[in-house]
Amino acid sequence: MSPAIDLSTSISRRALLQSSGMGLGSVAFNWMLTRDAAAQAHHRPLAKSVIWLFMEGGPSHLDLLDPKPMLNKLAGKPLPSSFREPITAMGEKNAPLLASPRTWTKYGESGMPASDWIPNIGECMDDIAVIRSCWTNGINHAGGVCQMNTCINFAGRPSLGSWVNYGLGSANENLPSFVVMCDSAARPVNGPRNWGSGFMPATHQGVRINGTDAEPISNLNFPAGYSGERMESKLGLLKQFNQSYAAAHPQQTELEARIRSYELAFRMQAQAPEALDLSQETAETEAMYGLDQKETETFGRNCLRARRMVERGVRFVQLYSGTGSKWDSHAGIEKNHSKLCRSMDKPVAGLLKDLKQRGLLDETLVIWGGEFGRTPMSEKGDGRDHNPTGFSIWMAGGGVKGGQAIGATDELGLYAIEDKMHVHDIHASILWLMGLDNMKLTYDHKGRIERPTINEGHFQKKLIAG
Amino acid sequence: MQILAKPFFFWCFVIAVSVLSVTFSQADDSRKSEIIAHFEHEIRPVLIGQCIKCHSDKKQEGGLRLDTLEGFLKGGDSGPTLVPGNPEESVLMDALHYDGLEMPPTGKLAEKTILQFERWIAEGAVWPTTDKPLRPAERSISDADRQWWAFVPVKKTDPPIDGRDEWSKNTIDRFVWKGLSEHEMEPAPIADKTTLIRRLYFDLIGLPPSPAEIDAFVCDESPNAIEQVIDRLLADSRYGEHWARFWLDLVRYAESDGWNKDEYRPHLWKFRDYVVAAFNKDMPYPKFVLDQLAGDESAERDPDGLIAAGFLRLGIYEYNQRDARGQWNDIMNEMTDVAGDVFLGLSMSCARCHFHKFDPIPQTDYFKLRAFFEPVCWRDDLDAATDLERKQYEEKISEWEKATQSIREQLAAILEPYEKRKWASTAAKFPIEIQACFNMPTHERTSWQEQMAYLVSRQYLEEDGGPYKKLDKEDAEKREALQKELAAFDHLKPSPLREVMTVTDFPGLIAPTTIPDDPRRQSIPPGFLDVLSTNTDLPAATSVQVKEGSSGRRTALAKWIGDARNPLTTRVIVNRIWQQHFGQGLVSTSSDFGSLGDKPTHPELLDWLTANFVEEQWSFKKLHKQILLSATWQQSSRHPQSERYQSIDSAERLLWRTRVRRLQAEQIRDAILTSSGQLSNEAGGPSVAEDKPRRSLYVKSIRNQNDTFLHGFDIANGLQSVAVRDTTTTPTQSLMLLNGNYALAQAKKLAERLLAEQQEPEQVLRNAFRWTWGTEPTNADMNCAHQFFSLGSGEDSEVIDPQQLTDFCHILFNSNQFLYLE
Repeated sequence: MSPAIDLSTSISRRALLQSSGMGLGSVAFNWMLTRDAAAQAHHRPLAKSVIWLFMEGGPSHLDLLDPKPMLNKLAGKPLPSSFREPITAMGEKNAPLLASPRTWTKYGESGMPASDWIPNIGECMDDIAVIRSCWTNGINHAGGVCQMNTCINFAGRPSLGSWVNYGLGSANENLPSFVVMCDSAARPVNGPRNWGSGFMPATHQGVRINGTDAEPISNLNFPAGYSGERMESKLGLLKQFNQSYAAAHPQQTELEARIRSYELAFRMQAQAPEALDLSQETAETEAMYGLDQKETETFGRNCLRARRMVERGVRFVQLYSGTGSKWDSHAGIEKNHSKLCRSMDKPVAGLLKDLKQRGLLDETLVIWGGEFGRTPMSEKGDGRDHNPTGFSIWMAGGGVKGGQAIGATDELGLYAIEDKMHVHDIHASILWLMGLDNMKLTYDHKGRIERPTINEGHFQKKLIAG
Repeated sequence: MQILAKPFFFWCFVIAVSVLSVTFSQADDSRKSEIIAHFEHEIRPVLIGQCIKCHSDKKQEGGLRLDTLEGFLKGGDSGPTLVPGNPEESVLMDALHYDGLEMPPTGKLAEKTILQFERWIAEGAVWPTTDKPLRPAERSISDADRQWWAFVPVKKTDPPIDGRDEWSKNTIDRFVWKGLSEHEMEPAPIADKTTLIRRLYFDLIGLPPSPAEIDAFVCDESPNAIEQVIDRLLADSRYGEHWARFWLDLVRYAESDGWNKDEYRPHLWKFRDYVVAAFNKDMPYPKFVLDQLAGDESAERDPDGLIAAGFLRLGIYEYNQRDARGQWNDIMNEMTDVAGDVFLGLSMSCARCHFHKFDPIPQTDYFKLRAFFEPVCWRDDLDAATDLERKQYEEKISEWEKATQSIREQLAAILEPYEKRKWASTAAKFPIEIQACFNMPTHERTSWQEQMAYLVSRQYLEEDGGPYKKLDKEDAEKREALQKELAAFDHLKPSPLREVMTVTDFPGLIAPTTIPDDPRRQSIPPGFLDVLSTNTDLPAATSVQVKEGSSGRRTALAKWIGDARNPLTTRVIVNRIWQQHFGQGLVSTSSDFGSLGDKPTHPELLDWLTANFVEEQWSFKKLHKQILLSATWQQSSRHPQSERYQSIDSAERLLWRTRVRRLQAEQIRDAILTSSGQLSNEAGGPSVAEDKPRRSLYVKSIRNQNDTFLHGFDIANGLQSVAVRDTTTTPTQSLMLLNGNYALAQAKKLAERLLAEQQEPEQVLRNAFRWTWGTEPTNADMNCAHQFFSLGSGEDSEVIDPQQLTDFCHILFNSNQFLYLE
């Protein structure tokens, strides 16, 4: 590394941000220095924003993106002894292999296959790179979701969105730069910790937006019964008090920062509802996202809001589908996945198409995937257990070359075998596409230089090169 | 003296490291040294990590050695591996690119690493020493390492004397004065009494003084007025409630399991109450350490010791994890990391995988520390009762058992098949080797096998609703009827003994502690930091005689930590106390006394305080008093020279004024409740929801719930040891205080309280300021207030509108003068 270069550009800003963790710095620094994101990047970014569609609970790669003819041939038989026996979450021993009843279509010029559960996404396959060789350490939801968000299954590290926020800041200081939306009021596994900032200051954590509520961000609205006029008079008083206190305490930057934080709060109150206001969208756009149908309305609305967010410079948007482990299909996968795929297939395809038609897809990285995949072995007869050793996610936009499959699992889809991509590599790749080098982005914590991917992980070049 | 803020210092350090490693051959031309540095940084580590295992003097796969340049040039079965200066003709490059050959076989190197090899060959494949084969650079502990300031014995120097010094009140000040005068700076004046009393209260009990307490202090002209307040507050039980908090942050105290289920731990509050009581009792630090690391090992069964040993239960736990081996390994590592953070002030976790990159901590040191915890078994079946309580309980319960024997036998007959089935199904979900641990007789198990069996048996109870969730309808009815019958004898049943989450050592064979990936699986016995082994007289014994069935390992560790001769642990704890009073420690990185941390700003002062602390029987209360009576602590936050001094010492490390500090989350919430008159004075006991008006210390801390009011103000997350909390200032935080219900509802209570006391508008407003800011308002403040209420227009009879008063109080809660301590 060449620290002299880093010092003159990005590191000095990050050093300032770090000092806020020591109780010295201030929101003023943080929020004022958030512009000119490209200047903070380590190399030319391909993606300006990320929309991460998180299928919580673990969708089945075997039934969506990674067809395995051998699985249907061996269905009903136990896992061949040539396969190393995995530790499964539910521990069902010697369960027979479960066939996939899906039909597969080859789409577009690339001929990339997608199953009949995701026909709309299928139409976008030429824009999509499917990574079929993902693996993770977390065999349970808590560990898996934690790892997919923070790169490790053990709680306590900052989420990827926090790292991006720390590394690049926001391009719109009136909106949070890392937002999370869930498709129901349910709580995702691990709760708000998934978008927490771990050992970094809370400044970098994600903000949950309640997509369906009248109050999209907690405490955004005035207290019940309060008019704008009344609040303004209160804020006027507060400003008087705070300014005279700051004047009596010169050279205490925190005090100035807090004054500023109220001004920003006031602006956020104005801008956040506008960003989320879908009444400005045409019926045609709404239909693209499936807002006109009951099954797709909820997730579609979040997808459309995500587009509006990235249009306004929000850096990292995460959407939960099946919030609260709903994709988890230990039994009755047919019914479970039919319903969930239906709820997200059209909205996701709508999002891709809409981003593309607006010229936003090139600079917006869309990621689709869960915390792990599912086993070729059955569970409870008609379900599948968790599979952390081989599963698929996909990426589109943000410089990713579509219409390709990267890596492969074995013939039954149990273990990733080719071009294996650990979560470290997935995160390193996302960061790389955003112009950040996973080894150069550092945070000093308790005498240890921390990196987003825990000193591991590599950018998978095939994502852009094919 | 190091007076720069950490990040800048840190980057200088990184540069220094790179520069140093390049300059070793300054005599040669600089180009060559650059090339050699490149080899050392980029090539050598890869050769050691990836190649020499199969290609060196011990083993030459393919007839190839890659530990000497000669080996490269001679090559193996595929011919010479490289042509210096010509990467394109070098077979090595093909192999690295996986073109024909595939090396290393474990996986292709990163693209950028391959590029480094290309550069190395292109630049002539320079090898630093031509005669010696490559060896992993085994770092060892040098004399210089042992001379690091934190590892040398504490030295009590005489306080400096300066004839010009008319400012110092006690010894602390004389050291601080020296630092200031060396930079030609002067301390700030002593703060006014109103400021001091507010600072004293928040510092010692975490709560604001009442207006009456402020008045009494301001009017007290006696020379020892401050001392009297300090003594009174140190004797106040609310002192422990405040000071327990920083310790709970350090030991990552939280009351839930974490992971997915995040189960509440209903008995853990006893640990919190133990810490509160320890501070209130002014328990000597060695005893405090001993209780938490080994309270279970004391010869007489000590209820408090068992509760305190709950320290070893504070980590997270996943209720349905079948990878028991992996889970326990994580638990043990986390326990070791936290012990290193809390007691040693060193980030040991770096040494888990390799010799610490910056500090003299070999990997074996990490596992030596971990070995102290090797026999630890988690226990949920013990109680924290005195012998008398237990005897009384046993008498009563045997009476109840006699009376209910037949009912219980019938009940057992119904439930037994379900229990059997659940045991079988629970165990069957684990890997075979774990099932074997569970199935073997207890007396044949090693400690590790016992730990595995424990993890299996917890799932019997906690997973999938426990054993009785799927009772047949008929059986369920029978069970219900029998339980009703049983309930009729409840009057005979004693209340259960105090349950406790604790640990004990495994009494049998202790499994060896080994380094993962060590092919020899060499057993690492418990041991102390190598770097402290020679220049101190610290004991070397790694176990001591304790009660039967316990190894005494942890007691030995605790005694070593609490040894007066330990230069590291003693400085660490004294620095932590200092940090709580000043907002930053003399060593600002209070859990990192290693080389990446900051050095002490006042090393002689830290040593003097440390030596004194140990001499004074490790009394925290005496240390507090010493600090609080110093002119240093009593300085104002306003300094006439602040602008100039800021340019010299922006981080205020020389202590030229008191830093304005935002109150901590608990202090903010507790101060709001104090002003509104709602704060309950109930102490201890089970934790409560945030909306209850108890002190924030008693609010349930649930690991996965980080969206509460307290979290909004940066409460510690309970996931890692936290030595210095963040202080963030964000729009969302401001929204919470301004629009959220909590502060507004309390403002309403405060308004009601003010109006109940007084009707006269002028006095109501004055009291509002006094209850929140702890001070009389200035004329300017009163003018603002008058404007807000449109008072003084003179037409209407002047009364205060309660709703408007609520708004006014609400703004006071939002104001910096309320949220900050000066």
